[in-house]
Amino acid sequence: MLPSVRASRNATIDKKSNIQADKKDVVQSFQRLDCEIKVKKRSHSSCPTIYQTGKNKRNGQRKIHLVNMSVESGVVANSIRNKLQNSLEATHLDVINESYMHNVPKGAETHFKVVVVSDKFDGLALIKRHRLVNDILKEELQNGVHALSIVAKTTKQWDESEKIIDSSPSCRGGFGK
Amino acid sequence: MNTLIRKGIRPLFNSTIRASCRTFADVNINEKIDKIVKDNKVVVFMKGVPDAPRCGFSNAVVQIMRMHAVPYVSHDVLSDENLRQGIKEYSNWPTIPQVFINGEFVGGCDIMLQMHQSGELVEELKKVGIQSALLTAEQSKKEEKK
Repeated sequence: MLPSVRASRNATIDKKSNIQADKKDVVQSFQRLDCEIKVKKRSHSSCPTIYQTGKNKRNGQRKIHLVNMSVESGVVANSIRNKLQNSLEATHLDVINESYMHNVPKGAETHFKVVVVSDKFDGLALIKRHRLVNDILKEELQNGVHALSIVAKTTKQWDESEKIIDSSPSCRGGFGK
Repeated sequence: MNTLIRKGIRPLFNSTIRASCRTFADVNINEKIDKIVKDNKVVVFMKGVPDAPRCGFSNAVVQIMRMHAVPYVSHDVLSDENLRQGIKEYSNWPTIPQVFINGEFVGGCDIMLQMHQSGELVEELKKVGIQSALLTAEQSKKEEKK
């Protein structure tokens, strides 16, 4: 059977809010340490990272501590959202980070599902719609985004549909980087 | 100094190596892929092998093919980095899996799934002379009723 576990998007959202709670905790614990907090994008991957820069009391050396962040809407997710919104004038847009389902570091932004509803898809075959989205997100796909599942519908199709998005198939461990 | 090396020189170094290696591979891999997709009716480029897919999306495609009992040739992109990059450029499609029918790129997991659900896949297969097992099952059911 197909592994299309029908899950309402609520499940994803629950997961996200948990993650956001985690993020809050991390930030708070940093603030307690009176350290400077910088959110920086790591050059080799797309995951946003918190750099804790503070001087070690014992030897005065600058200590850099990396914490992978689980961000509800990270740098990449935001850029995906903006690009799609601007280029396609979407009437409905969801950018779901599904990276947590895969064999990647916590908080990574590698696996996404996008739900785009736009009248610009009108009259376009499915493959052309997907190509359109892939083209808009070319930069992201070349820089760290590893999987992109696309639901592309016209406003009419979306209104007629059940508005339930199947969650992507579960990982099988092959994140062969 | 260390950071300088890490940030400035290393990526530059890496990309030069990659670029120079690619020019060698490019010509060959494109021809190779072209031959593969044109010599076979149905070709799937996936992660892992049909008996042990190493990615959920690839697995979904394998399951669809199995349901329709489609005879196909599969290629594991994880065992060949050249192929993995080459196929993305060949079809101008950024993700794996990729399905080709009659030499033409059909789509990835999302599209296969939708084609399967809408019945379009059965039609596409018919065009290349493959009778879907789902269609066969349906026909035999009808005959029984008669």
